[in-house]
This record gives sequence, C-alpha cells and structure tokens, in this order.
Amino acid sequence: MDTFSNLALGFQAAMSPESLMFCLIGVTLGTFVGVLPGIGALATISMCLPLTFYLEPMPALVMLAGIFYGAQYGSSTASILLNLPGSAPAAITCLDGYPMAKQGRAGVALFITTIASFLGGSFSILLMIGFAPALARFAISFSSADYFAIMVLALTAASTLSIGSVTKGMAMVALGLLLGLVGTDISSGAARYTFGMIEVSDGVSLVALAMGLFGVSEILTNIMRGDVVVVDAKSITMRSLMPTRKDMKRFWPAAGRGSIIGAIVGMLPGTGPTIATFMSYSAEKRLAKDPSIFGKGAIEGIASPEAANNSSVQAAFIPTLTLGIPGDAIMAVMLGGMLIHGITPGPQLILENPVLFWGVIASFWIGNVFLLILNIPLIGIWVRLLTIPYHMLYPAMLFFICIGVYSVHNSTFDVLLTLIFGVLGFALSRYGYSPAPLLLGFVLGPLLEEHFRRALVLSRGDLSVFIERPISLIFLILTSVVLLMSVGWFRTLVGRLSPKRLFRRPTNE
Amino acid sequence: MQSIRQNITALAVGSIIVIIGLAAIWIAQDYQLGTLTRMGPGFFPIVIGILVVVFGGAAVLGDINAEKPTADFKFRPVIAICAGMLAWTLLIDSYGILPSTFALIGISSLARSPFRPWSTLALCVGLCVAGYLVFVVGLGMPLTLLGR
Amino acid sequence: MTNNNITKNTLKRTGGLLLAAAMSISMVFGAGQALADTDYPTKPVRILVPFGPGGLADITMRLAGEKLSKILGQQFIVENHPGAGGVAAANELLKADPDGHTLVVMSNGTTIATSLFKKLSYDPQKQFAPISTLAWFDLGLFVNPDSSYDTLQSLVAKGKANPDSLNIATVSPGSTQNLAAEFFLSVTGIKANIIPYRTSPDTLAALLRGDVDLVIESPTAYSGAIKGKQVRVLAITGAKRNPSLPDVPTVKEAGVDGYEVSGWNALYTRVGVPDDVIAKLNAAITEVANMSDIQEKFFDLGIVVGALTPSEMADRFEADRKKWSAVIESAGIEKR
Repeated sequence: MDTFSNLALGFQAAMSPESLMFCLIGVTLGTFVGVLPGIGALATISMCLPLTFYLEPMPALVMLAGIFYGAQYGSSTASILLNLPGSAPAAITCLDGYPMAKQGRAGVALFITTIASFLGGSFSILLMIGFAPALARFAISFSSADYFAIMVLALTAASTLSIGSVTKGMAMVALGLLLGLVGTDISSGAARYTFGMIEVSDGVSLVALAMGLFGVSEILTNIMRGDVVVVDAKSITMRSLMPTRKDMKRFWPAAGRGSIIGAIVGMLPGTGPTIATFMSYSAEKRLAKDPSIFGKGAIEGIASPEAANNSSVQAAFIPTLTLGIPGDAIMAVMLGGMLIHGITPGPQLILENPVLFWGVIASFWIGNVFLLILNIPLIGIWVRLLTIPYHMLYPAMLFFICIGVYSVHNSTFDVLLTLIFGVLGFALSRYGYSPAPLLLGFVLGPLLEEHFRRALVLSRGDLSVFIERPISLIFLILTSVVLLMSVGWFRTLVGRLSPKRLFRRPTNE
Repeated sequence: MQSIRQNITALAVGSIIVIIGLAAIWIAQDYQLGTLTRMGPGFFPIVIGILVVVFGGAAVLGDINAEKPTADFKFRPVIAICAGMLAWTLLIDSYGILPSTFALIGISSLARSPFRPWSTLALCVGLCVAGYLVFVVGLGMPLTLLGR
Repeated sequence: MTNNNITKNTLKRTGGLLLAAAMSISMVFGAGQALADTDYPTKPVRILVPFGPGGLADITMRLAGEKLSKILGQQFIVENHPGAGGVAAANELLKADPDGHTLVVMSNGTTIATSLFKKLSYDPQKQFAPISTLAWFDLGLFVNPDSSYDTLQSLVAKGKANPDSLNIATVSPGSTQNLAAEFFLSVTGIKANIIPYRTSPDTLAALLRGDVDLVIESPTAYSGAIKGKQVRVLAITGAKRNPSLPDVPTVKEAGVDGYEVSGWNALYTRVGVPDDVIAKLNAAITEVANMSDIQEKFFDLGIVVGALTPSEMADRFEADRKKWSAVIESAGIEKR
C-alpha cells in the first residue's frame, strides 16, 4: 500500500542521526518547560524559531514539534506532586493526581500519566497516518452552530467537576463564564468589564487563573491546615512507583476513552486541549460505577484526561498539516516555522513533499517513544521533590509561579492577578466551591458566545439553525440525555425500561 | 457560638458571588443588547450575570446549615504570601531577580512559624542561581539579575 | 564601521540555546572598541512587540532581530507585550530611557488605533521617533473556488444587486483586515455583512465550509490553501501585484478604483533618542532588508522587505492615519 511505503520513507528520514538528535533535544526541552508552571510550549517555540533558521526544514520541524508535545508530558508532573498545573489542560490532573500523591502514590500517578500520554499520543498519530486528509475535511465541516452545541455539552461537565455540592459547582461555572467575558468582545470590539485596564483588554490570563486557583490557593490551604505531604526518602522504592495489576485494569479502558475524546476535540480548530481534558474527566465520572471515588485519587481521573491531552495535541496537527488551518496559537507558530523553511502546509504538502510529511509524523511517534524512555526514570527524581520539607518547598513554588506567570506576557499585572485568584480560590474552596468548574466556564464562555452569535448572524437571526444542522442536533440531544440522566426520576424510568440497565451503567465502550 | 460564626462566613462567601453577579448585570446595562441577528456585546453579560445570581443564591441557601471548615483560618499566611508576591511584582522589572527573589522568599517564609533564617537564606541564593540559569540564560527571558 | 562590526561578530553565536554565552562574548568585544561616531549599542537592545508570540510581526521581528544582533554586536531581544492598541508595548517603551536601547514595533494597526480609540494613552506621532519600516504586506480578496465569483467585478455586481446578501469574513473588529473590508464596502457602495472571526485560520475554515462569500486576509495565512487551489484569489489590495502571486491583479486593475491597502511593520523608538543612534539603526535595518537570505525567507512568508528613511516613515504614518480615520468615520464604527 502507498501509505505504508510512504511511511517507511518517513521513518527512514526521521531515523537520520540529525533528526533523532533534534527530536531528542526538542522533547527534552519540552518536558522541562512543561514541568515549569506558566512558561509553556508557545513561548519556548517562539524563542527557538530563529535558532532553527539555519537548520534543514526536517530537523527544525521535528524539534519544534517535540517541544510542543514534550511539554504536555511534563505539564502533569507538578499537578500531581504539588497541585500546581504546568499548563491549563493539566489542571484537571490535580483533582485526582494530587490526592494520590497525598496517599503516597505519587510515583504510581506519574507512571500512569506517562503511559497514558504515550497511548493518547500514539492513538492520534495512528489516526493521522490512516485518515489525516479525510479527518481534516470532517473537522472543518463544523460550523458555528455545531461548535455552540459541543460547548453546551462540555458545559454539562461542570456538575461532575465539583467535589460536593452540585449547586456550588454550577455557581462556579457561571462565575467562570462571567470571568471569560472580561476583555474585548470578539464580535463587536467593545471592551467589557475591563475597568479601563489595558492589561485585561485581551482577557484575563488563563495561566494566571490556573496558577492562582490551584497553586497559590493550595499553598494557603496547606499552611493553614499544617498537614503536608512529606515523603520519607527511604520509602521510595522501585516497587512503590509501579502501579498494581488492579490499577492497570482500571487504567486501560479509561486511557482508551480519553484518547478518543482527545482526538475528536483536538482536531477541531479552536477548541484546544483544556476542553478535551475536562470533557474526558467528566465522561469518566459519569460512566463510573461509583462516581464518589473521584477527587480522592481515582486512576481513571488521571489516566483519561492525560491520554486526552496528548491525543488532542497530536490531533491538532491534522488540520494544520493537511489544510494549513492551525487550531490554536501554538499550531500557528508551527505553521509560521514551516513557512520560514519554505514548506507550505496544505493539501499539497502530502503530494509535493511526502518525505517531509511522513517524516514529521514518524518523528512524532519516535518523539513519544523518547518521552516514554525519558520520563519513566525521571519519576524517581520527581517523587523526591516531596521529600523537601514544606517550609522550603512552598516559597520555591511561589518563586516558580511568579516567574512562570510573568514570562507569558512579561507582565507583573498577571502575577498580581495570580495572587488575587489564589486568595479568592482559597476562600471559595474553603467553603466548598471547587475551582475546576470555574476554569471550565472560563475556557468555554468566550467560545459559547462567539459561536452562538456568529451562528445567528449567518442564519440571519433564525434560531432553528441549531436543530437543523445534524451535528449540532446530535450534540444537543446528547446534552439533553446527560442532563436528564442526572434527574433522579428519569434515571429510574430508564432503569425500569431497559432490563440490562444499559444507560445507568454502561460497562464498557 | 463558633459554628454560627463559621456559618456566617460561609454565607458571606456565597453572598459575594451573588453580589458579583448583580454588579455584572448592572455594568452590562451600558453595553448594547443588539438584535437576534446582530447580537450586541450586552446580551451574554446579562444572561450570565443572571446565572451567577441564581446559582450563587441557590448555593447560599444550601449553606444555611453549612459544616465548619476543617482548619481554622489564620491571617498570618495570607498576609505573608500576599506581601511576598506583591513585593516580587514591584521589584522584578526595575531591580531584577536577586532583590525580588529575596523579598518574595524572605517575606513568604514568615507564613509559617518558626522562621528559619539560614535555610531561607540558602533557598534564596539557590533559587536566584537556578532562576537566572534556567530563565535568563537557558530560556532567554528578558530579565536581569540585578538592576535594569 | 558596520563591516567592521560584522567581521567582529562572525565569532559570535555558534548556535544552540545558550543566548547568554553569546551575549557575554559580544559584550567583551563591544566594550573594547571605541567607535568613531556613536558607541551605540552598549547593552542588549529590547524590541517590544505589541502582539503575542507567533504572529507574523513577531516572527519577522525575531528573524530581523537575529540579523541586527550580528550587525550591531549586541543581542536584540524580542519581548512580547500584547494588548489592545499596542498600549502595553508603548507604555513599556515610555518607561525606558531614551537611549535607543528600547525599540517598539509599530504597524499600520497603530495608525488605526489612533483613530479607533477614544483616548489612546500615547501619541505615536509626538512621543515616538520613527526608525524604518521592515516588512510590507498586502491583503488578498479570497472566494471559494466553487462559487460563481470568477472576477472581482462579478462579486461586486452580485453584492450590488442583492443588498445584505454577501457574508464577508475578517479577523477581529478594528483589525487592518476588518477595516479593509469596511473600506471595500464604502468604495464599492455594497451593503453586506462583515462577520468577525477570532483568527485567520477560522476565516479560512469558514470560507472552505461555504459559510461566507468573501474573506479579506493576508495571503501568508492562506498560502497552503492558495497552493492547493482550495481558494480563489480575486485581487490583491496592494498598489502593486504581489511577487508571489504574479497572476493576480490588484484591486485597481480588477476594476475598483480608489482602493489600496498595504500593511507594514516598522521599528520606532522614543523621541529624544540621539539622531546618530537612529541613523545607525536605520542603516542596520536597511542592511538587513538587503540581505538575500532575509529577502528569501520573507518572500516565503509572502512579505516584501523594505526600509524607509525616518522622514519617509513619518509621512507614511500620517497618510495611513488619515486614510483609516476616514474609513472609521464613514463606516460609522463606534470608537472605543
């Protein structure tokens, strides 16, 4: 088959010593900036771009891409160890990863997330090899009405993200939606809730919000409570880092579902990995036999989002490479990088430059293997972070939060915002308001509004557009089902109607 | 007596959310609503503001018999960490990594007793070196060690 | 003098990520050398970019910064200070000393901002001193190849015959693309819906999907689609044809008079920077603009490199400011 011979060609190109070396540099650098809070793949890739100027296109691209997906591997590390997400998508990993660390299972959690990342990444790479052009065309067939329906479905995740009271979760998601409105309205250009501050004219910084709500707030909570995870260095053995067979049994299906959700969300331009991780977490909790284990260190709660995260970032290359439509800012930099090297991503790329196209895809997989090999030995080192006494650890965390948030826009204002969100998040979570739904609302809000308004402009004010388009209709029906399932009497009714209780306990998919 | 006071704080936190929602609606009066075809920037703020008020209000009602938080509130950590981060933001641009890090670490270390001068000093030095090497040398961030 | 600097700096930068190592070497060399007219730059130079990382302005400045570092013997470091109207970057520049070690990127977007914002916190024409342009780019008028619009005239005719039927996509309100669309409507007298999208790729997806009839966007953002014949370019907004699209007429050639839009990126610094420093920077940028590898890379990006003298730069700014101010006025766009 043509694909296979091309792929073989690609692997040949990707296995050249030069490509291998730059792949390794890229993924190592990526892992490293991923672990650091705040500073992320976007800033790093932009800074490295001029340095790749003198390289051949292939190693340059391989390295830049390696930074990107390498950062996703690293981003969950600090979520698990310190409740400090390396980037916004990894915030969800805090929910179950950090409790695992508190139970002395940090090593297991890191092991699980590494494998999940590898699986998720590999899944999307396989999709790319098999169906990239077709998937890309499918992805761009989603119109604004369809996006709106997907965002509405994602919004229902809010109630599952909240630990404890569902009403409080809803209040937080509403607050997040409100916060998402701050800044310049995309459709009219009007400034909203900026109070004349230019620093928020492009919106509140997502990084500042995530670092404040999770990182700073947790530091305050820990100091207030006085009980802090301190691991005895002697207790770290190879065995304590490895998941049990029972863990792995729960791991596989969750990672599989996460990979699928991540791939679907990731290939849609403009959605991004944060939505993918939140949706996959929510799906796990809804499908679980016992949802009460979530938030207390459920394996599914880290495996699925982590697979979704990596699956979505790899899938984001699908529209970028095959149509020249980058889904987010990072993909746009990658596209710029390719153009500088005289490569034009688009439908022509696969025909005109098959060696490069397949070589880059092959390098993704090689990079993922590198990351697996690199990250597993690192687990032992990361876990030792927890042996640092807390009176040294928390000031150091604050230092990395400050400098990391600052690095995103060179803005001290964002650091102040982080502080405000930290105190706010502390006060809210102290009284049972969880930060995760707020973050979800914040990410979804602007997309909901943008697509709702644009769908109506395109339909000239006709609301039926949301049920006339099949994709939109399917997602709205799915949303209704999810909502109805949470209503007690409907669940009972469905349970009686279907003897196998298919809806109540979907066992596996 | 204690439980009543805790309960009042819980209600106060919830009420703040409701107040934020009300303020959002009030501010949104200035934004244009537009038509269904050309929706203005004011429609979503009002809808979301209402959602905040409704869910926030429901949460407050649910909190009337709230449980007491597990840990006592202390002012000291909040003040120390706020002051530390504030100092960092004031110093970093003009004076560089060295003074800002010393201020951040020094002040925020006061959040917990006992204050350990020697380990704090060692931490400051270590983080300055690591921060400079990683962020300025390695990642090329536009920061200086000392002064602009 | 500049040649001297170049040879001096061939020693510098063996590549790799340790920028600082290179920095210290160039400082050692720079300090030992007293130059005839001005010893500028004596320390690393900051280039403040009013956009986030990854955009066209950011990428071009990073490429040029790399070259400027070689010519002038100090690191030129790109700093991103995104924010509406370039205010964040402008404020940062005004905080710095007027010694030429802090530069800011201005664009035709800045000329729009002066009219679009009720109260812009800075006056680019009074507070900032022009150095030179670096990059020039035009916009394309794109339609779906499956549509019936073969020429610009057929689109204009359709738009005139059916008011309010055309959908035109551009990126965010107040952007050059968006105002170029308003300008197009006012020149042709068409009534149509201008629909703002968040990013250029979003507009491309909308065009491919058939949601909109026309997109006004930079050919760079559409280069893959142009090559793959997924879009049809009806015309180019510049005064001259785009060298990478030699077969596409300008809007004027396509039969619409009085319409020309071209964007640019330029370097500015504070008023008060000595003239010899500005002259030195201008000479360095002119040198960068004449480098063949820079021209090639920029060509691949669909951009033309071109320097101006400081006074030409000031004239260009004023001309564009007047033009956009008139467009904003006639389109009835509400000021912010």
